[in-house]
Amino acid sequence: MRRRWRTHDGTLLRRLIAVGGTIFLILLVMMSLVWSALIWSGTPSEVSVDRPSFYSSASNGRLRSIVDVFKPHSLWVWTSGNELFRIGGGSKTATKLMSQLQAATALSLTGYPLGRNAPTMPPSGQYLALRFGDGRVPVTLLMSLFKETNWHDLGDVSSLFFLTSTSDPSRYTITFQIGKTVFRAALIHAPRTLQYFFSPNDQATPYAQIPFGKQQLFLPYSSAVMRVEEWTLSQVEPSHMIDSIFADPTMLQTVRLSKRQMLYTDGSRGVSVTRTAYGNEIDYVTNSTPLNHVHFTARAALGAAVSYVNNHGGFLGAQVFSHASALSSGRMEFSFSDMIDGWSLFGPLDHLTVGVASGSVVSMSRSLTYLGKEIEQRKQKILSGTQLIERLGENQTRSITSISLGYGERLLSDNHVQLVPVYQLQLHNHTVKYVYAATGAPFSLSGV
Amino acid sequence: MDFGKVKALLIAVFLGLNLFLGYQWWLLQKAVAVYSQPLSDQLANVQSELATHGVTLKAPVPENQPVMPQLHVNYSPVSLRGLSSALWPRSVRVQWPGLSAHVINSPFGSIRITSPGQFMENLNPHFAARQAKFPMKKLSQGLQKYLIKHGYNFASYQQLATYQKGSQTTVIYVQQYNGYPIFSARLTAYLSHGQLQSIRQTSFNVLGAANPRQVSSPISALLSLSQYMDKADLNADNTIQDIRLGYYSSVISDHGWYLAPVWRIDTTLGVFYVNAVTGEVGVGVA
Repeated sequence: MRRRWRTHDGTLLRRLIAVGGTIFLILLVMMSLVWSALIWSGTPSEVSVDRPSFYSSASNGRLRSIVDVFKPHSLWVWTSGNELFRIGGGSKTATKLMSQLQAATALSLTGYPLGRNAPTMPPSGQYLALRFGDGRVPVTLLMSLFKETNWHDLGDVSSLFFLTSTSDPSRYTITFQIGKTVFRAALIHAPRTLQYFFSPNDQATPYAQIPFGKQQLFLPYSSAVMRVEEWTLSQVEPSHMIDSIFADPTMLQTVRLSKRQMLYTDGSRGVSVTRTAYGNEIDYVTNSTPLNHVHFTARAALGAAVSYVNNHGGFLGAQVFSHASALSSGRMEFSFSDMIDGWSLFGPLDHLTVGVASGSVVSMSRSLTYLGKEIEQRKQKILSGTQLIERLGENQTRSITSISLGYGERLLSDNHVQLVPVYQLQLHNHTVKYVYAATGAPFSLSGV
Repeated sequence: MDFGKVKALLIAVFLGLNLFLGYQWWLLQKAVAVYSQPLSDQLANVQSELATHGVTLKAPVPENQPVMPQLHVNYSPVSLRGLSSALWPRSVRVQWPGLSAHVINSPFGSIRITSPGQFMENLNPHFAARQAKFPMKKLSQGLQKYLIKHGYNFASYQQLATYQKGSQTTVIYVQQYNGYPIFSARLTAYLSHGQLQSIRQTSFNVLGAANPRQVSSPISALLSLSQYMDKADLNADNTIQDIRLGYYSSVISDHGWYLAPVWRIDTTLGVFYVNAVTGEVGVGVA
């Protein structure tokens, strides 16, 4: 009897524990639902200020810093034997030089008004020059090349020259010209190996300075060999980019602007998506009035632009800084373009322009199509500078202000592009023409 | 299957989940604690946040948080005939240079349609000296009386701001929708020594309303502004002079566009427009 009761007691207790456990589990499940509902509904709209990051498709491009983006398009070496060589900005040599400069500090600048006692420009004797993009760059951007360098916003420069001391080749000076003043600064803590960059290597292309009217053209000295390349095209899905720009995509409204153009807006910001032969392009705009009496340096503005691109899809391809312009509206606009084998890429692919006002990005225009994989290449001999001038003839050359060598884009199909060596001719009336670098025949960027 | 063990496992899992969710909720409460404080405390907190960026608040802070939609708008078409009959007396002799003309002249001045929905009236100085010159002390009232009589659709506009620079005065009125100003549809009056020189006016047609939402409080708009300044590293001395709720957009298209509900924060450095739903901040036209 006692034993039965014990058994009965034990069963009852176990059953009580089992029922209690079930009730406890149900309570826990219900509590988790309540917590979830509280968290879901408890996030007030007031706390949303600006979505800081791009989360819908972060893998489209690469994240870059100012140092990665602000690179020279070309290095120019002028030897003691008066020979000129060009090294591409994307080459290993240029990358090594940039990393070595990061260890050096440029001291404060001294200005010399142009005149008898001023240093000559370009400097006489051996030098190494850096050219950035296709135009002039604000001097404050040059500071980012060096460590702990602080200069005033003096204006724009077209080239930055490095000189070595004749008495001690390990002492360096940098120099550039702004208006009618030549500026110089000593470079300290520069690695000893910097002197190697003052001599041409196997990545250097010999160049000639060809007198042309009142100016000089810089063109290949001999018939260099370049490549004709065929690439696949990759596309970024426009919806990913659009979603990354708006804080609350549920507020989005659409307006059809034309057959090929749609506008997405929440009232505060607008993104238009345009379908072109090369794929989609987007243009983002928002309020863009600059604040009164608030000045931001070009360097701070470029920092804001780079950070914005990183947070909205990243940099596609091998985009680097190509142009900075201060607009009359108080905005600063930066253009970025692609480089192939150390040469500029001419055409609509990978184009990116970012506008900054009062420290914030207010516009961005970019192509969503970029170079995917290289699938074919062949070597091609190009015309030397003198051969090109001969082929163009007097009629065509009369209106030329400058000539640059690079790659032109020729669309083969919706997802294939051919990159062809071309000479870009800048003309007096600010128009641009292209000719095949191999033949001198006219080249059209639209291709097909 | 041993249900006892499964149940024990489920209890352990849900216990862990509840602890995690409870911690998340506590973090959320901590983050939004500012919104449960009394208004005066919230304001004091925001003021001290703004002060870290050199901003002083010298404007009354509204307390309303209405439900407002996005407005679908386009330019309201204006015709020279309609403008001349509204701005000038019917008896006046108007010179009509041609059907496709964009400018008309009369002894009262000239009217030019600058773009669809926008026009500019330049007043004849002789007429203005007699009819549109106001004593500086009562300039605002005098101008308003004049515009009620000689303005185009003036009843749908409300005064926004007056800027004085030496003898030059600029008075800005804005079109309103349901009592809220549309900051980008403006009537700007330019005066010199109290005499009206010209008027530039833009009118919108409201085609529809979408996505009505309760707007954020002005306190959170100020908080958004403070965070924007933090992000943009803006620390110049600045004073907030006016805070108003209305509609605005800088994104305009020929095919119609949308205005967002915004808090307009007028400061000495410029005017900030804070989206009253998303909290995004931008700098816009004064």
